[in-house]
Amino acid sequence: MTIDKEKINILVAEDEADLREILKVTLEQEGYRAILASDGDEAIKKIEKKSFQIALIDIKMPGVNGKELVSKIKQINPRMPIVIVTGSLDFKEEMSFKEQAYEYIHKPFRLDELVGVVKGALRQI
Amino acid sequence: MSEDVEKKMESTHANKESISELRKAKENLEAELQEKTLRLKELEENFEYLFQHSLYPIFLIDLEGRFAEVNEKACSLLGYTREELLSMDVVEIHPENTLAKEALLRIDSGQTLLAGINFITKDRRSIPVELYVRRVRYQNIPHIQIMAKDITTERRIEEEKSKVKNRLEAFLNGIDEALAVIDRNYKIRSTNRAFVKSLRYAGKSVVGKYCYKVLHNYAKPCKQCVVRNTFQTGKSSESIRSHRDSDGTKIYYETRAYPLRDPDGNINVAIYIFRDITKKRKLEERIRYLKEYNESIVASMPSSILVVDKDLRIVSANQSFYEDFALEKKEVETKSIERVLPAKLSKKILKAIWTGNFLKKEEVETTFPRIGRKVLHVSVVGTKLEEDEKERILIIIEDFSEKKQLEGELIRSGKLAALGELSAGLAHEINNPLAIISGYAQMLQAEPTMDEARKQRYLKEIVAQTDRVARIVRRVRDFARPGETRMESVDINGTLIRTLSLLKDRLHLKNIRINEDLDFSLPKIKANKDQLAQIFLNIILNAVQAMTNGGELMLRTKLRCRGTKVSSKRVELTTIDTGCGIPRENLGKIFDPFFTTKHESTGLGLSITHSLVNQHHGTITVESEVDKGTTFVITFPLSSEEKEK
Repeated sequence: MTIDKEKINILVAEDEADLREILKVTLEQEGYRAILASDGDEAIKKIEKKSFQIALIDIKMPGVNGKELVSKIKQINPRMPIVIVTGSLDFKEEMSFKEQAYEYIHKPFRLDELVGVVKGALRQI
Repeated sequence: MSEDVEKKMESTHANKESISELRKAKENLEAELQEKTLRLKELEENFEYLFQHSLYPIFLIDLEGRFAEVNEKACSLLGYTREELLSMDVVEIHPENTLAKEALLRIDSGQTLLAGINFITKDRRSIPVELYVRRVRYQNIPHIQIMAKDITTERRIEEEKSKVKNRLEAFLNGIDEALAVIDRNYKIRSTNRAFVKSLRYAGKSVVGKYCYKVLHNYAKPCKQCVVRNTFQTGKSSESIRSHRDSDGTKIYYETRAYPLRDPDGNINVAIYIFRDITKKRKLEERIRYLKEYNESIVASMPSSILVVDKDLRIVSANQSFYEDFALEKKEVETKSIERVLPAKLSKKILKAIWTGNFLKKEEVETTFPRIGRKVLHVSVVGTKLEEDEKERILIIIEDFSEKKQLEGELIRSGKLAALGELSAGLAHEINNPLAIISGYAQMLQAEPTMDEARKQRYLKEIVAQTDRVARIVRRVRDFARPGETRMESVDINGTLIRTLSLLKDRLHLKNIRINEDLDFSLPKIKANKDQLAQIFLNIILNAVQAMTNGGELMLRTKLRCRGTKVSSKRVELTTIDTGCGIPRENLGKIFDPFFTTKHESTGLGLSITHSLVNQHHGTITVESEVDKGTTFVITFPLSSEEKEK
């Protein structure tokens, strides 16, 4: 199944402004639409308003943290692939997302790698 | 008629001769009579003398029982005069025993001894007497002669003798030691009650039986026998023997024999004594065991123990002392403390003894010529040792060097644990700027035709994020710097703020708000900056872990004054979190190493904090309520310069 890239909405939840910028530019260059949220609460609000095909989520954010956000997304849309983007090296934490997350990307990351993961996730839908 | 006689005499010459012969015979007879009469008179006088001056009282009694004659002794025995007695009846001095009177009267001939009779004196005393009684003729009339012997003294001696005998018997029967008199043939002549009681083999009576049979059920005398020794040497002999009882219990007994000499000096019997000393022996063994036990405890104690007398000379030392301080017995015993221990240590001990302020685990660091520098915990106590009741001083020295080193290691490992906890957060902190640097760099690489303004913005951000990483690394390096133990005057507010900056991101992430109430006019304290930072870091980390869902951490510093003394002033830090709190049952354990209720914690943080606070002569207390939060109060003394101000 091919989907029109223009119609693909990707949620980016990240508290670092520069990283939000990098992710937005990279995804838009690939033709996707990136909707940005600087913390968990903002992300939830956006999910409730709009439908998304993929979510890129930072685990450690102030407010509603990544873990809670992931659960919330799964409640709203259980089939939405979630890509976790994290700076943490906590293996236990990584394992706790094994069921819910499609992929786990460690910061710093290669932009083409990120794009590859997003493409792969889209094929899942 | 005489003329007739003369005529006849004249008439016959022969007649004349016979007359002359007759006359002569008559003269002889008269002389003999005179002689006899004289002798009789002598005898009478002698008898009278003997009667009167006899050593014994003598009574002559007629057959009616009346006194016919008495001598002086008889009078003095009874206290009557002769005249009084001669008017009396024998019943009056011997009233109760009429039978005796009859016995007196029934005597036919010869002398009879009568005993067990008492005479009553004029002053109504009763005198025991023995009587020699015989029939005599006096003034040609049958009389009874009684010779009396006052046996009061003999009777008393007899009574004393029997008393002594009874007492001796009671005594011998009363003592626990079994006693027997044994003759040269090993036959028992007599025993006391304890002897009979202690026997296992004997029948009813043991007198006349062989001692070896009675005592041991042997068929012949024992190989080692104290009785035989005594007979052979003529001296007392003793030995301690043991044998197994029928139930296998070992029984110890002490045997002794004493020679008993007869008036001629011959030893025909020996006194044999034996005593069951099993109990005593067991007690002795127990005492010996306890003594050895105590000695072995003292000897094997890992602490060094010195016993010092009043002259401050070392009486004894245990094995640990000799081993730990590499000293020989001859270098230590009887030597004074100053000669054995280094000056710093001995001065401290002597001061404690002189002032009477005994020491308890006082830390002393000093150098020994043979074993080098040591950290010691010294205790000094006065004591009285049982044995001689002399006052002694006990010095207990514990080598704390290794523990001190371990404590250092524990602190270091705690520091590593804290660093580990930090690094989890640090990874996040560092990886974020790295991702930004990497992201912009990749974008610059992929888009060579990027407009200049965007390019410059990206490059500027790359530099800024690089600086951010460098700052983080520097902070970590500051924390992980190998512990310097230099103490200096430190402002605790500054250290607290620096520690907080290290945790800023983490606190932000955990939604923990910091509420500061710092008194910036606080005096400085004497502290090691790194260690102080670690104390604060551990306490704040603990609060962070307690507030999993965010919360508020109140940090307050102030000067605490209790009383007017400068020494009572302390700098106080109070931390109040709104976390999960500590259950009452865990409050006492939170400073124990490795005590933790959290998965991610090593349980070292608070224990190290406690030890570090102690090193700074500070105090740390905790109050907590479950689901409300925990309050730590840490106080430090002011630095000496501050006190002088």
